[in-house]
Amino acid sequence: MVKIFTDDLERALRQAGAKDLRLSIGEPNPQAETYLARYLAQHLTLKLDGKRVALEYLGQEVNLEATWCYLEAQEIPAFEEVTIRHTSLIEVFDNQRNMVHVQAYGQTLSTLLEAGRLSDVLAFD
Amino acid sequence: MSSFLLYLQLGFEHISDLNGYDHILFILALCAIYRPEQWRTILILVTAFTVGHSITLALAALNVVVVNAALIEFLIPVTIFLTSIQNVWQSQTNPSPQQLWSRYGMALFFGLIHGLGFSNFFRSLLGREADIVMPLLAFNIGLEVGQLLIVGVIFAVLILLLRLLKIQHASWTYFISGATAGISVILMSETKFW
Repeated sequence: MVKIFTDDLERALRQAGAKDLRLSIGEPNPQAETYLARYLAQHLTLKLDGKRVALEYLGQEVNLEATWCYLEAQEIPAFEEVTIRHTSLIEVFDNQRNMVHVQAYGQTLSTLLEAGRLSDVLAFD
Repeated sequence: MSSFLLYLQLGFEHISDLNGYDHILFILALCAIYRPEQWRTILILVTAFTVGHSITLALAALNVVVVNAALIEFLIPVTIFLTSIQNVWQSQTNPSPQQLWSRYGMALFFGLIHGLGFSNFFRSLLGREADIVMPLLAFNIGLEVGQLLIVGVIFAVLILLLRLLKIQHASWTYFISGATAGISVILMSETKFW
């Protein structure tokens, strides 16, 4: 799940070419969904023990000031190491920092990603 | 990194962030009337402030209280202004027990307001997490460590000024209180509250 402030996300999507985009108001907008799915595909990648995992975009919901986006990976193999790269908004805001939590095997590991450190490796016991 | 350490780091960075210096300014105003020898009083004051902001941070994180961010952003510099003003009219070289207790009560009450200020930032960090106790505890410990570090820096500077430059403690009190009062008025005028 990716949680992003809605106004920041709208700004990033507009900068990526989506015109008159509004996630916060009104009915579901298929065009916005397409842009959002494409944006997340570009900015979020996940590798398990060095092997890229395909993430499928499921949808989003606006929750107070944030948009929560849901993605899913099918059939995850057992793994020891997660390499996560999450660069959303870093191209828009110089001081953007993305907080990442990975839960697996009863353990939660976290990291902060920002310009200069776009990805990190989390090792599970 | 464990999640605990990450929330601790974020709490520490949040209070010691020079871009959002309002909390630093409050601690500076709170400490400005004390001599290094009065460290017990300072410890109680800082703890009272921590108790205050821990309460409201927890309540806001649990959605028990809903905060009007613009109002809180305005009230935080008000707490700095009132503390600065109190510094000038209240002598702390020989404070009466009543003066001491009113100061502790004030630190606690103002802590409640600052906690609401922390809560907007804190809530934005949380996902749909079932357990908010751990993040809350880690974030608070981070805030506390940052706060003690700020107090340490303030008193290191004060000791240098008193010993090396032989400045009068009263001059320090008035100089710092005047500065914090002035800056707090600017902060008030800049908020979206108007």
